[in-house]
Amino acid sequence: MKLNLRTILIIVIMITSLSVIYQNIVVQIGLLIISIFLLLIVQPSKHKLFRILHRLKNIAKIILTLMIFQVLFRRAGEIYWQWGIIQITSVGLNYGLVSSLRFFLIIIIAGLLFDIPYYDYLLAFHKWKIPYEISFLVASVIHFIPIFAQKFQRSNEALLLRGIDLKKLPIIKRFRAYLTLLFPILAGAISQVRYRAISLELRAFRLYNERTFLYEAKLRWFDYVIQVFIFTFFLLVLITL
Amino acid sequence: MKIYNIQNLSFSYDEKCLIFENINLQLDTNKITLLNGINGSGKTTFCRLLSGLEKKYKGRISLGYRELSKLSSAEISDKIVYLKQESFANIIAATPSEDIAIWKHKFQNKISHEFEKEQLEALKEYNLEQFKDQPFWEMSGGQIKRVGLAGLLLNMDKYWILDEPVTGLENALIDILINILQKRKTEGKGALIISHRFEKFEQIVDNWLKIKDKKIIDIK
Repeated sequence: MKLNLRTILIIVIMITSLSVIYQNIVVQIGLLIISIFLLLIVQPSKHKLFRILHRLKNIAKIILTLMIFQVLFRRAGEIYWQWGIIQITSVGLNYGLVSSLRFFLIIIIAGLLFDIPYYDYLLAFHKWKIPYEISFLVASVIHFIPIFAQKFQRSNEALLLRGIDLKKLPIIKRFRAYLTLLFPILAGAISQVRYRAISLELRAFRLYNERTFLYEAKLRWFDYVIQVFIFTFFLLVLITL
Repeated sequence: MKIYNIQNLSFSYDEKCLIFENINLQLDTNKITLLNGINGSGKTTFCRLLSGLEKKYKGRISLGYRELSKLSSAEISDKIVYLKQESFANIIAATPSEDIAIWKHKFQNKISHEFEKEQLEALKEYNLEQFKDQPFWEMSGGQIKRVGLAGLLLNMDKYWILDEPVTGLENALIDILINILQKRKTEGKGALIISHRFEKFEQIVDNWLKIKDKKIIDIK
């Protein structure tokens, strides 16, 4: 199913908001199931699923570590288990599980926005009457994320070509390598932004107050249906829980 | 002796559009091979395959006597060096001296005093000594390219894969590279060079290859 970007953005905003509002495991699991379902029906592709799985695999260790810290060191509510200074409490367990489920949910739901052209964001924001400068800025940031990832990938390849596998370095040396990589990537990114600004100036960016677009991103009937459905769902959850 | 033995190699990025189909080729350790082909014919992809950056190929690529896809990056980099076409893609650190040092310490070892001398010599060869501590983002594309070439000098015993090594370089610097390649050749060290400027390499090249219609053909 091919949805309009505005519909996808509404879905992402609503589901993420509900996840942030509720500190409840059942709600988080429910939202996670809905997100997985959406990911499988909204413009599904092998490539998209593979990227999300890869991302989840990379971040799973960090999320699980955070969960263990939350479970062990947040002390409030009923004590379920204690060993010396280590306690597992009802609040700690709830926080640990909810925050890790929330992380997974955000990664999965953000997958709906993968592979959407930068131009579509401009069209969507234009329809929402967001000032062009702001929509251009937001769209530029979104456009910049894959470029940044690509630069990191390129540096990682340069390391591999010198026989350095980051995954095989001991943790402290790996941290040193990341720092070495990060600095030129950031500096390169800033310098690229500067060139982009010059390029905009050369094309007389915002010389005219209004701009035209080559095509329009119109909502279709099922976009309206899904938008109504997601708003109703959002309100129902807010009222009932 | 063969450095690469390629048998029935086929490759595509997306399983729809084949870039190479049933390539059979051998590259000699001690010979200089020049490869060219039209833009988008797969020259850089071929380099990526040979350097182990693309592993999902069909067929066999043997580096030495071992299957390339089964070798670790450390094992591959022990035998070959691949200099990418984009100058920035060969850079890891923030300054030339720091970047060259990574060839040696690899975030594992400490650098000896002798290496510092060797490092300076490499930078001097391409007139980079005055830029050794200058950040890369304040350097020109040509200067960054020279840092990549200087890094090669620390890997004289390996087989070189050079993707467009002379693009953006002035003639005097091209001559330095050609002299180095010539000297290496007399020591039995070869290279695979991708370049559209074949007139520059005419004197030192042993084999001429061309990518055409998903195949690599010997043209001389």
